[in-house]
Amino acid sequence: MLTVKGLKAAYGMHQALAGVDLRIALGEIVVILGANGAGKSTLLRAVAGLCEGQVSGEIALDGLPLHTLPPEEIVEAGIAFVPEGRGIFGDLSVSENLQLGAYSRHARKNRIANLERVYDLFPKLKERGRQIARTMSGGEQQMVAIGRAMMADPKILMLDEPSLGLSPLLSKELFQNLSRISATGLGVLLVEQNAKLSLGISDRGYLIENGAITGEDRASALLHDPAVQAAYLGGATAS
Amino acid sequence: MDILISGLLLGGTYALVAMGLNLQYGVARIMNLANGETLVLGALAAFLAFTAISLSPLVTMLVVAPLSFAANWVAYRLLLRPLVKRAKSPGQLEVDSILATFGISFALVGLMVSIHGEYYTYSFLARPIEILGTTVAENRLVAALVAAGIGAALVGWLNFTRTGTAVRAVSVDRQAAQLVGINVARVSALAFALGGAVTATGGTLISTFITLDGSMGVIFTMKALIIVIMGGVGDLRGSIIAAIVLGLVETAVASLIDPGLTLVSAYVIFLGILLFRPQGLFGKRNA
Repeated sequence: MLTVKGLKAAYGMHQALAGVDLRIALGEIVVILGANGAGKSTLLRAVAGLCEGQVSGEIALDGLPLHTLPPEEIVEAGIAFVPEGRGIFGDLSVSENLQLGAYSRHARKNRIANLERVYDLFPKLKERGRQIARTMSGGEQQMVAIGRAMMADPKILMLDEPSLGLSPLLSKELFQNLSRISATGLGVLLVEQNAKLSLGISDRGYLIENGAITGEDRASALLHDPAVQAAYLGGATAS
Repeated sequence: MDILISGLLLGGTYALVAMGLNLQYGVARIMNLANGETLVLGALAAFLAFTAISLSPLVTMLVVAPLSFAANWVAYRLLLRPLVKRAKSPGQLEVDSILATFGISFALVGLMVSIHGEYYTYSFLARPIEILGTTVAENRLVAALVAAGIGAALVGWLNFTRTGTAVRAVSVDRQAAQLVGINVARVSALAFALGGAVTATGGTLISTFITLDGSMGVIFTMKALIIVIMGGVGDLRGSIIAAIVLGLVETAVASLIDPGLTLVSAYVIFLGILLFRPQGLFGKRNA
C-alpha cells in the first residue's frame, strides 16, 4: 500500500500541490484525472523523488517512509516511474534498456523472471532486442518504457500520460496491458488525459484541481458522474 | 611506413589521455580545463621518482593513479559538485565548470613551477628498437602498449560490469539513469575521479618520451579536447579513432613539412570538425 498524506509542492511562489492525500493498494489500478496544470505530473514526480520544487508531506510504501529518500532509494523501495515523454535511453538498444531497468539491487535478483514477464507481455521487445530504442515507433517506445519500469521489480508502477501521442487503437492496447500488469499483483497509478479509456480499466479514480483532490470514487461511478462527464469526457453521456 | 608506426604509437598514448577527459566531460559533464595539468602532474611525479630514486615510471604509475583518483574525487565533491547542484541548465554548468577548472589549472601550474621550474627530462628505455622495418624509441612503444592495455581494460569495465554500465547510462541520459535507480551524483564523481586517474597515468607514460615543463598542460588539454570533440562527446570508441587520427596527422606534418607545425595541424583539424561535423566524426545528433 502506497499512502500519500498532506503532500505539498511549490515552485518558488507557485503552489503546485496544496496538501494531497491518496492511497493505492497492490493489485489496484488508480487513475488521477485533472486539467493541464492541475498538479498531476508534480504529484507523480514528488512521489518518485524527482520534483525540483520544495516538497513537504508524507509518502510511505507499506509503512516505509519514502519522502526522506533520494530517487535511487525510492526505486529500490519498489516504486517505478514512467514519466511523460517516457524517459528511455534513446541511444541504447531495447535489451540494454531492459537490463538497465533491473539496475537496483533487489531487481537484480529477479531479473530473469522479470524479463520473462516483460517478454510475455510485449513479445515484440524480444524480437527487437537489438534495435536502438530511439528508432522505434511511439507505441513501441512506450512498451520499452513500461517494460523497463517492470524490470525494476516494482510494487507500484506510476505512469504519466502513457497514452499521449498514441493512436486510439494503440491506446486501447496499452490500457489492456496495464490491466494485465496489475493482475500480476502490482499497483498501477496513472495520470491520464484519456479519461474514458483509463477509467475503463481502473478500480478507482481521483479528481485533482488546482493542486488539491476534489473527488474520489470507484471508477465505474466516476464514469457515470455528470460533473466528470462534463469536465473530462467531452460531455458525452455514457449510457 | 615510418609515419604510420610512429603516428599509431603517439595516437595510442593520446587515446588514453582523451579517454580521461571524455569520462570527465561525457559522464560528469565537467569541461575540465585542468585536465592537461593533471597530466603534467603525473609526468612530474614520474620525473621526480626517476631522478630521485631511479623508480621506473611504470611503477610510479601505480602510485600516481590512485592518488590522482583520490584528488580528483575530492576536487569534484568540494569544488565542482556545488556547481552541478546550482546549475539550472547544461549550458550554465559548462560555463561555470570551465571558469572553475581554468582557475584550478592556474593553481596547479603555479604549484608545479614552484616544485620544479625546469624541464622534466630523463632517460627511460631511450634505445632504438625495430618494428616492421621501422626504428622507434622503445619508450614510445612501451607507452603505447601500456596505454592500449589500460584503455582496453577501461572499455571492458564500462561494457561488462554493473558500475561501468551505470557510467555509460549516465553518459547517455541522466534523467533515464535516475529513473532506473542509478545514483547520478555518485556515478558522476566516480567518472570524474577515474578520468583524472587515467589522465595522470597518461602523463607518466608521455613523460618517458616527451620533455615537459610545468606550464605545458594547456597544450595537452587542447589536444584532448580536440580528440574528444572529434570523436564525439561520451563516445570512447570515437575518441580512440580520433586520437589515432591526430597522432598520424601530427607525425605526418612533423616529418613531411615542419615539426613546428604539429599544433597548427591539430587546430586545423579542430576547426574543420567544428565547422563541418560539430557532433563529432561518429556522432548521431547534435547534443
